[in-house]
Amino acid sequence: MEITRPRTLTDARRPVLWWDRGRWRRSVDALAGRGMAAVTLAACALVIVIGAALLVRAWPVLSTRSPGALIWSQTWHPTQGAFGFAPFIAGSLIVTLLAMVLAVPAALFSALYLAEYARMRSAIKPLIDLLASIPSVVYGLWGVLFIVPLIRTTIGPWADRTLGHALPLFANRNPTGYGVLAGGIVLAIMVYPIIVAVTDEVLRSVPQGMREASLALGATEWETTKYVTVRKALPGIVAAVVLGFSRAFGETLAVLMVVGNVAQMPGSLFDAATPLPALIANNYGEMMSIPMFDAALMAAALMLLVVVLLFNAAARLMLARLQTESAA
Amino acid sequence: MNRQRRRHLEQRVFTTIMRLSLFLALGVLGLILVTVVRKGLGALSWNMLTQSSTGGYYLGSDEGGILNAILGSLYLAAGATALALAAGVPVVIYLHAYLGRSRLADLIRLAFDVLWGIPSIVYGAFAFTLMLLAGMRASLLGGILTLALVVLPILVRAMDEVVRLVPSELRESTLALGTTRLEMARILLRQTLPGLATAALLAFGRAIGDAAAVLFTAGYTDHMPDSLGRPVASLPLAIFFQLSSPFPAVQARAYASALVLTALILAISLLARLSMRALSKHVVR
Amino acid sequence: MAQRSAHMVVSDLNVWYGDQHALKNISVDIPRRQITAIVGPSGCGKSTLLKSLNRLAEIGGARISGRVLLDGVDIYDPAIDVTSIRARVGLLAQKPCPLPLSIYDNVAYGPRIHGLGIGRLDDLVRAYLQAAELWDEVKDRLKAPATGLSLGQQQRLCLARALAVQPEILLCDESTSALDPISARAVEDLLSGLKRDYTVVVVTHDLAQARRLGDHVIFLWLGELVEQGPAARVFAQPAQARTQAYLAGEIG
Repeated sequence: MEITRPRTLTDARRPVLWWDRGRWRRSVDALAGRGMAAVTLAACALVIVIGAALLVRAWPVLSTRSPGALIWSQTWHPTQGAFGFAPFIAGSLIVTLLAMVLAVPAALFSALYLAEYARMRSAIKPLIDLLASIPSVVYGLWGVLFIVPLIRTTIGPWADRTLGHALPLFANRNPTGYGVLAGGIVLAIMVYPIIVAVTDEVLRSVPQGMREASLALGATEWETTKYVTVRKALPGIVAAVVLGFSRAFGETLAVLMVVGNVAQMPGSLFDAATPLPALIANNYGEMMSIPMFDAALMAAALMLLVVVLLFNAAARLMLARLQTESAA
Repeated sequence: MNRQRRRHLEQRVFTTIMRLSLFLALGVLGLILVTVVRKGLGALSWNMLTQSSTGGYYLGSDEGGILNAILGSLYLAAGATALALAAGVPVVIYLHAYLGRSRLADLIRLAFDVLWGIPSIVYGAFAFTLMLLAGMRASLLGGILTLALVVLPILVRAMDEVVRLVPSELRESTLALGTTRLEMARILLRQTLPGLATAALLAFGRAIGDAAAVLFTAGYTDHMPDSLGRPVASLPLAIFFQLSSPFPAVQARAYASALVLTALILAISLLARLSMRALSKHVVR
Repeated sequence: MAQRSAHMVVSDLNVWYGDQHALKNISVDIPRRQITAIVGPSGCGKSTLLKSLNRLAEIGGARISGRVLLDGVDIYDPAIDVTSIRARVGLLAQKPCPLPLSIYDNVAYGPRIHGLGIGRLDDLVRAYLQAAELWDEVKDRLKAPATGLSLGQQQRLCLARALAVQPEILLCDESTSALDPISARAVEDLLSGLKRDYTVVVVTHDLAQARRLGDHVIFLWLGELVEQGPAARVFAQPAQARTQAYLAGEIG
């Protein structure tokens, strides 16, 4: 097939091959584009599909009980049809909040050091990322090997002796070591790397000119960090913490392995508890054999989804606003 | 003390606090790794790696191994990564070659960020729902599909970051030659191949370690993985079940399994990091 | 010309950024209560020299040898507190960089840190905003974020902020080049008025500006000192051929 070169511009418009290669390419382009758009749309719609599917499965329980009854009731007797989620919601909240209390200060200080002061940053940052890639079950195993015995033999008795009389929060009625504190500690370690990573990125996005301006006025490096850098990065730091909370709330296996798995309202740090993800994971075997049990567990999954979605969306919007602000 | 000294003391105090917190974290990392290695090495044997388990997963005797779980995890992760790539690459192409900078692109990225945050147990519950509807039982296929869902947002985000780094001049000059968007996408992909490979490795590593998603959907078995329609063992669940066993001998094997899993993941992370650096030498800057 | 001791004396200053030798054996004088203009083509080390005068260069990872004497005291002496040096030698950067605080807090930032003017911060802020000719424009919105100001206003705010720590010397790193011509002129007029009370050092790539402002001139080329002296002499009868060529626009 001979290809004749067009001599003028008008010639170029005429097809020079027996089929118009240009139109072919454009059609492929458009078709592929539409296909990819479809895939993208499907993926984006996934959130809604997941929510809808869970809602449908949970409907038998959700439609026959008021939201208030589900959230506040502490009675959990699946065989009798009593599905009060309060113990599990409380378990999730307490373990997650404890993890945040333990992780956030350490993570923020670490991120500050990493972003503003560290000279060996390129060696240390990968190690933090390594913490993030350790699978959940290994954290759980380590928790069982190390943290639980520590609580059982040392921390538990000590807290009971010293603080337990004054503050019921620290009273130790559970000698096994498996409980909220173990879950909180393990979860804190798991959530630390993500808070560090996001905070680090946010701090590095603060323009250097601001730091130099502060230093040029005679401020020390710490004063610059305290009054200028952190101030500018604050929305991003808050977003990092919110993201961490969201991750911690949904963590399943590591917490399950150390938290004791008793369906009760935890009254102290040393009590056993069952966060929402553990509830689902523990009972999936029996879920089909008791009526409405599967709907209840799907309702728990739906609750998880809603909480995580809200927190995540809030954090992302905060981060996005920080980005548009610094671009302005 | 005078003002100057107070300011500098404050700086020294807080710098020390910062260093300590980092030290603490790294110390914990070291502690975890050392514990896993020490306990695991003690229970590890050649048998464990090369044989499948015998005698039921709760009451496993001293013979047998975790080969079924190792292979199962590898198949699950490979299948999930392949599926996620098949869905994720079109998304990234669409975002970068067809949409460029636009509000729609930002919304799509937000949607994927939201998906990224969904805990894997929710994906597991969702997939289980669908599987019941479709009459599927817990199987390798179910596990692959679920893990693909979990891993898709991670993959898309990682690939997106990589393609974003391509300077816009490359894109513009290609388009100026009269290429279609699809053809430009091919060039983009070729340019970013190292980064995409790293992203895929990251996703693979994540898929191997996830337990909550496969709990409902892949089941567990002592047999070697042989078909898509049968349940399959996985390393994280192997560890979990072994640890829950009442027999100390079986519990000890949990440590060994954990060592294998951790070693696998560390190897993949290292590979990902090295590949990013090595293959980047050939890209246009 | 009256002999006054120089405010700052730089001797044998060498600055390296990694392997790059940015400044080579610079020895210059900064005369008191005058505007010294540092000129030269881009990349010749003007900003580096400027930032060596208030020890800001080391923030960017520079290695420095040599001495910089401020009223006879070497500012690089390890026994001296860096923050007190920077309080005496202020900097106005090229890109206006307001701190993420209100207008009031921007100006008050330096005094608060150093403990100046406790109890009369309001007067202090007002005085320096007036000195920067910004007071009338912002007096009703002192608590508003500084980022809401126009670029020219922001630079004047940065000037007020720099003056509020009551430095002896003000360094200006191409402080008007990021501004539109009207704002640039306004800031330039402010700088030229400052020399009654402050020693000013200005880095500029704009020779016309150097001619307008400079009492004393330092000409750098590729990290080396070519010529320094009173502006009248250097601009009219440069001693070096290279200076002549640069002034004529033939090089750089």
